[in-house]
Amino acid sequence: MAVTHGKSSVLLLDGYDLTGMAQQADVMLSIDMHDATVFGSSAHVKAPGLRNGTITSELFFDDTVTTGSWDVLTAKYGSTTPATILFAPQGLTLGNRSLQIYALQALFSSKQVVSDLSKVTFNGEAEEDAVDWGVTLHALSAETVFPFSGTSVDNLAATANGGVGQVHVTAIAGTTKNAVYKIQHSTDNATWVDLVTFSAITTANSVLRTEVAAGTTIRRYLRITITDGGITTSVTGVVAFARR
Amino acid sequence: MINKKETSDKVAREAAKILQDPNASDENKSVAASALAQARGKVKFVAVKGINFDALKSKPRVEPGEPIPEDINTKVIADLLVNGDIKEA
Repeated sequence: MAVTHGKSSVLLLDGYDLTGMAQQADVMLSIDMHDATVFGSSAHVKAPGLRNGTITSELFFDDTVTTGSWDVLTAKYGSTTPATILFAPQGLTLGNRSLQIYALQALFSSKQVVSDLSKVTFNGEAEEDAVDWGVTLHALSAETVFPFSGTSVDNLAATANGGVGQVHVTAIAGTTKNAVYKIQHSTDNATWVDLVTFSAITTANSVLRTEVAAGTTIRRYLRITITDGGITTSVTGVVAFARR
Repeated sequence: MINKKETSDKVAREAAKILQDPNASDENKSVAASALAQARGKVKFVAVKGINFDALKSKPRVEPGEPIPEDINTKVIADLLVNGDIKEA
């Protein structure tokens, strides 16, 4: 058994890489359990109910304008637009597991202790779909040659209930910045059909999230492509997809 | 024995329709795929979704509405038809 270490974890929120500020993150998935026990039972009978998902993370206080933990999290607090969050316990190497949560920020806390470093904490509550289990289709790294086709990730089998994909772009350069990310799927690892086409990304710290409808077949292999719709010289982003 | 008889355009089109019909049985789709294999070159297809054909040397990308290259093998054509990724031109 290969063990992994918590230090490999990566946390992104709405196109911002919070990894270098976060010290801990806790993504929790839960299902309501209702007691359906009746007279005559010798043990509790439980009936599962609704799913839920939450994330709590503690980060060091960073007042860097726009990209620091303070600005990123305070800007999100009170917003009715959920945050698109990607948490990868093993890091973002291609094919690694990740957790996706589309969460409303329910709590922001600035905790200061005289004998400790300044920290902030946020808590997010899943807006509707709890937490999705996904895989990384592109690590958080720069691509400079377009069109780019990524290495495939093999799920060993197709799935039949759609999914959700997200892309976080932390940096983009060029005279006319315009990068289009796509997620493609394939039955044979050779013929690739567009599954998700994200809108063009033109600025750093952008995030896009697209749901593929329930009932849609997601074929065995997945990969990404990036095309340049302008004069883009470099784009740094991560893509993940969760089958449902 | 090899059957060298070519399927007519009409039969090829019917085969394509069956392959695209989500209600068609697996048996009918199998027969339709066989008929289509014999009719290659008779029916033209266009992409419904963007498709990259990495198995071809030139690795062409076909955008929606554009014709599917002639040298795509029948198994791939049948697969794309079944999934609604291509349609008759």
